[in-house]
Amino acid sequence: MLEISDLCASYDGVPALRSVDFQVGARERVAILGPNGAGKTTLLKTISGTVGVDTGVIRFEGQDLHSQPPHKRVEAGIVHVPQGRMIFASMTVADNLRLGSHRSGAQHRHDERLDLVLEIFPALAGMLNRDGGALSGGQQQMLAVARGVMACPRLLMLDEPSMGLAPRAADSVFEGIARLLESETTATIVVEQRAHEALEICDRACVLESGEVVLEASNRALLSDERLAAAYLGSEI
Amino acid sequence: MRRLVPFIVLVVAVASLNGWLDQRFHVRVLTLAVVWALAGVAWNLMAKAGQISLGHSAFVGIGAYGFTILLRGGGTSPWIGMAIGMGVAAVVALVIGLPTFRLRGFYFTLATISFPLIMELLVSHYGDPELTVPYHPESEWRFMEFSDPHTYVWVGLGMLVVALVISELIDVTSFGYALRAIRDNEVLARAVGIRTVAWKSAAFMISAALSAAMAVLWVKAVLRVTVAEEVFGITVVIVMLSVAFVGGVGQTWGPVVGAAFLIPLAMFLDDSIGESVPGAQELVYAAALVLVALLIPRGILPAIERGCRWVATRPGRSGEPGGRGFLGRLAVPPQQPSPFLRMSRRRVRPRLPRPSDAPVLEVEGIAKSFGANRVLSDVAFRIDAGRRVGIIGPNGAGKTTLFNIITAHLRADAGRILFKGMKVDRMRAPRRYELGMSRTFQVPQGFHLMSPLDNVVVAAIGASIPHPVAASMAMLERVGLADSALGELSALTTAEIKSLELARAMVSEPELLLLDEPLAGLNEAERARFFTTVDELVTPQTAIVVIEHSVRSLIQYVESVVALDEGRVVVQGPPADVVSDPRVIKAYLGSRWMEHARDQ
Amino acid sequence: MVEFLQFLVPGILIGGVYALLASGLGLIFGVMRVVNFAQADFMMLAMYLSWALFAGGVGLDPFLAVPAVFFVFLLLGMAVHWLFIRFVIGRRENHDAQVILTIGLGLIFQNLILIKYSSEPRVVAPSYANSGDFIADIFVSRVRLYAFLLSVLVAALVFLFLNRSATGRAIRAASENWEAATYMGVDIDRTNRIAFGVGVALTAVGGSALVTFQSITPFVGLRFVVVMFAAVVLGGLGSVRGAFVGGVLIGIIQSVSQVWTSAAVKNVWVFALFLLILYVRPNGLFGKAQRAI
Repeated sequence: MLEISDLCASYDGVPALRSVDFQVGARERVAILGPNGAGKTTLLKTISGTVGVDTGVIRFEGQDLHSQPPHKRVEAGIVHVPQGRMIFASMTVADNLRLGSHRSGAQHRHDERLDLVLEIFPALAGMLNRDGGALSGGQQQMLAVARGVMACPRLLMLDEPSMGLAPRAADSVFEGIARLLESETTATIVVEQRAHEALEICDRACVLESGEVVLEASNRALLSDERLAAAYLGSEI
Repeated sequence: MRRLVPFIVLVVAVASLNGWLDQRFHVRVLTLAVVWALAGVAWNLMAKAGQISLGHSAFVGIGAYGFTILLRGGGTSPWIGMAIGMGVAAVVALVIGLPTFRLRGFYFTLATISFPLIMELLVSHYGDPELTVPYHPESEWRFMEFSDPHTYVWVGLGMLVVALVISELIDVTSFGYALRAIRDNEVLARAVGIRTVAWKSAAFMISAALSAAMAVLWVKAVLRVTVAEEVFGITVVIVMLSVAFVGGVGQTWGPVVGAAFLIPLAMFLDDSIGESVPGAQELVYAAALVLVALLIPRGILPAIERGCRWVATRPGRSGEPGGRGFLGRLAVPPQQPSPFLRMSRRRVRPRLPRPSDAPVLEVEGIAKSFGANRVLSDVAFRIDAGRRVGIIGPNGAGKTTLFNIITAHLRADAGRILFKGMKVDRMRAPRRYELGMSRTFQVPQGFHLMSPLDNVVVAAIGASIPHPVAASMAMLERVGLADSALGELSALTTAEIKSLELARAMVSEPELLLLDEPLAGLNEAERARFFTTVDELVTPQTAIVVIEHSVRSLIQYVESVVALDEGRVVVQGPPADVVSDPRVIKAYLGSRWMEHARDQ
Repeated sequence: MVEFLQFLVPGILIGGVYALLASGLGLIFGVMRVVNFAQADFMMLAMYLSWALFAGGVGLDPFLAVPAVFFVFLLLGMAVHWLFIRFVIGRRENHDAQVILTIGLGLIFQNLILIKYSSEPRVVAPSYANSGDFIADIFVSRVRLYAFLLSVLVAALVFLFLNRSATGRAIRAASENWEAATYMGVDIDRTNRIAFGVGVALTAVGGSALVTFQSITPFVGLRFVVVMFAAVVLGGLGSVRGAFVGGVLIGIIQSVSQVWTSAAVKNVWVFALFLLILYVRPNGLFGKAQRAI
């Protein structure tokens, strides 16, 4: 479904990805792990088109994305839930969700998706008329994921859904994501620091370090791989 | 020598035109070209700092009204009136400028736009909307009352040359370096000790004074009546903007080129079709502004320079670089820092010594929130002279915010910072830098319109280093950038940019060096090399704090580690202890990972 | 007291029109971070259009011409964005280019009108131009009342558009966080174009609300520049709601200042307030500049 070959990209003029090869099959869930600054976010941004590609090719369902502006990629079904939540703080939760269905393929399915989203994140149900900025960090993150789900994605990319959250809030976000992945068959990429949570909901994982893929394996294999911890902390546990 | 050539060309050109032209209209065009070149040079002083003023007609009006009132009242010579007007304009400039100089973005431009409109209203209502300038034929020079119109051109040329000399002097001294640094990257300028508000105020005051001087000449030579609507009018600003932007914004010679090109065009057009097309002159300026904005936003001079450089660096037919031809010589050679900076200067403020018992840096109870989002709470740590501390933590832990608070780029909500035993909470970024605090940035920062050498020179000036150029060059040699010192910043690789940042941070001989993710974007070999370079540059007394994501590289370098999570210090201590601490592993890999690891 | 109210009420009425003028400027800045120095000249063009429709044989009442003015200027604004503005949006180095481009465009508008219609002041005087009513001892000019009601109505419609339509929501989203809006599939260039058109049209409608009591010259825009910028800064740069409140406040200040000083210098007070705000609350009276609409 998504094929990336020999991708090099820079972020703010600093090389962030060095010759990355990466694939996601239909219905596949892939975790991208690795320490901060490894290039995980840059990889997602090159897919959604907000960071340019230096060299290399990204194909989505066989089509080269090179000349496609970001909003066309969303139309094609690539939906990115960005790091840091980026919810629209001065707009209500309902309006945030409505913007999620901005994609033309999703507009007429708004109500149906809304039901689904509220089932996955019941905490949002009572807050539809509240401003996004008035929500707690965990609720904002749920809203960010929910907003992405509203778009009926064909490929859903979640960037650090637990970043900056207290452990309990992060847990409930992950529970919601797990519920989502049970009911939907969307291909999904999860970028995450908390390796265990990410590996539990994915089929496969790849570890980035300094812009290169250093490890790629099924989730089971990685869960007990000490090299993963070494990539993060440079030491044995 | 090179700087003299344009002066000679200007004087010869104006002198020969002035000798040759004798039709009244032609002399008038020449006079106006000189007057507006002068106005443009004055306006451009502010643009050197990247500030666009739409209010300079306020100063022109002050100059015009000032000398007219004095001449009418007590028969004061216009020269004295000019001097007084210049003084008043400078003070007014300070009043308009100060509220906005701390703010970035459009605020300065917005604040200036309405000022002349208000002055015009006040003058027209409480004063006279129109004042005739009394005729004093008794003394040509004393009353600037020349019977020969050519004399006004000579006077104007003299004033223009003076203004250009002032502008050149600003360019080649630390004043110009400071202004260019502000225009290029204000945050960085403050981080390397440039007192942005003071420099901007000084530039604005000089600019205002020269505008007031220009007004006297304009009224005496051309208008002959001081009309509020005209001297305070927006057209004054439009012409200043046009000649400066067309020629080259912020460039000393830009307005001269712009005026030589635009003023005759506008005047002749007005003369030929002005009767039937009343707005012809203004349309010339308007069209020039729109075209410049869309095609050559920096103006003609920089565009020519770029063109020449392109021709000069294009490989010749034989494969070797061209550039021996005429165009090659025209292309500006790599900018040498000005010789004026080579002169020895003493340290303006001697750096305060550190009491021997005080740590270099002591941070206590720092808290910071952005809106409802708490980024740091009760952060405390200290570092002694010659020690190296690493700060680690997952994304969003508050590491860079902590740096920004230490260097005064952000203000903490609570807590205090002691540098060398001294409370620095109330000091702004430039002062902390002067005291001996240097930093690099997570996203490498640079002055992109300057050469790598000048990037370091600015930092040396900010620290009042006695021989800024020599010290900067020596620093570039030590980081291995001597060969590209005069090139373009954009030609440097990531590793070279990082070295440049290091050179810039070290030229002030800091006692505290803060490195924010210095290894990001470097490959294995470069990473290995980086900290060696740092060690070669610092003295045994320098304290170093490093934020770094690559924990593996970091723990080999530092002696202790502070681990942050959710804005709090979780653990601090020796690196090996910190990275094996369950709380740190939890922060990085999540609590579930810990449970899993324990089960195994 | 009655004397004070006699100044306050017209102040509120004219303030409503200022609010409309300023909200267009605020919308454009909020969405694409461009200070449009040509905004007051779009207002001037709209005044001439209203005058032409009224005096040029059609005899269309300026208040009835408002829908036409709105759509003409919506299209004109979108065209100007497509032809010029989109090339200078975005990067920080473009600030200078934005300033001189919009100043240049404004100047072109002024002088084209000067060439076509000369600098002779034009007036639009419908039959009810000088009539008014006393409401509890306070004289209320009919045209000013209409202008106020029209401004409030148009502002309400635009609020509905921004809050209820998909495009309006996309514009609000883009102004709050363009990157996040991009991830929603919003075409930023398109929302910028529409926002520029709507912003210009809002100010244009404000202009046509003014024509019944403000004589028209090619340089009339200059008289409103201070008012518009002051209102926008007062309410917080980039906030449409703030610009609206700022506009009303400025109308009141202008008008009430006439209790103490001559009407000729009423804008001096506006400017003094403007500088004061820059000094003490650069983010506007309501604090956060970020809240865009």
